[in-house]
Amino acid sequence: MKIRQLIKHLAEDEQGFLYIYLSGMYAIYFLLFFGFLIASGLCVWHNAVASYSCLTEAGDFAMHAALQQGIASASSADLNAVESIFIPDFQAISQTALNTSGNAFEPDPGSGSPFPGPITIDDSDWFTPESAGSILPDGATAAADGFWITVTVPVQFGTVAWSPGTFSIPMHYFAQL
Amino acid sequence: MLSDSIMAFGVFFLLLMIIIGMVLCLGMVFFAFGVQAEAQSIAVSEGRMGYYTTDEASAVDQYISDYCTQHGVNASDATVTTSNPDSSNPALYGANVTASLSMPYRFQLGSIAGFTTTITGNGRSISAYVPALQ
Repeated sequence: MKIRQLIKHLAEDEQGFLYIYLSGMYAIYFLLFFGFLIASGLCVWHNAVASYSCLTEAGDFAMHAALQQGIASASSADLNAVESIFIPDFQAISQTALNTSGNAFEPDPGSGSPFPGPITIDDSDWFTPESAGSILPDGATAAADGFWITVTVPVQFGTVAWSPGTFSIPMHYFAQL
Repeated sequence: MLSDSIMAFGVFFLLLMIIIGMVLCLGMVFFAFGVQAEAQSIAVSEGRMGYYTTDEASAVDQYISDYCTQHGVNASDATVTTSNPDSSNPALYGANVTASLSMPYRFQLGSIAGFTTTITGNGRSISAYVPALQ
């Protein structure tokens, strides 16, 4: 059947092809499905916000500690010193431990870590110094010297049985000295 | 024809129910975001002082009661659980502190009261408390 004939057939013979019952049912399924999608997204968003505060708190605390130790500028020479201040703070707040290969913070078993899996370091320059006025990777301008921190955090979907597991969300933070 | 009209009303009613349910759930989600932010501010205050305190300097009580007033919750229904609840066992510099805030959220449409769920926010921070400086 040609398209033109089909349209003619639908318009003239099948007068109920936009039947209110069917369209209503479809609208309900559509809304339920999108409600489910939106609820899932908001769940992940909510858990991600809670996880992100670990990164911001640890970053701010590490910068404060670095200032107290006399590190006043973000230079490559100070990179290892500040990184060695940040790592214990991040381990303490997230209740994880950096593994021996140095590419993931593994949750301590039995410590009540809020993270469902290891926080991974995907990039070798996950901890980079940025001087004041430079353009950060997210397009903003650094107001002061600081360090750009990037980690990939597993975020739990929820605590329900049919949870599809965890989402890996890359999170970055610019910690200002 | 009568069945069509009844069905139209039924479908409209179902759609209305779904939309109302979505709006209430969205309200709960934004309430939960607020509770999470409050819990985080409690944890930050706890990290400053070394332990959870409700004295005037920390202003934590004021945050919670303001939030409760804005959202129509009794301030006495908000419960705070913290890792370092009193001054006898403060968290020292660099230690992890946690705070958890639970508040009831009522699914309510005007004066038609529904059921109540408990929303919990978990805040985490690092203690900056040095005993000699206090």
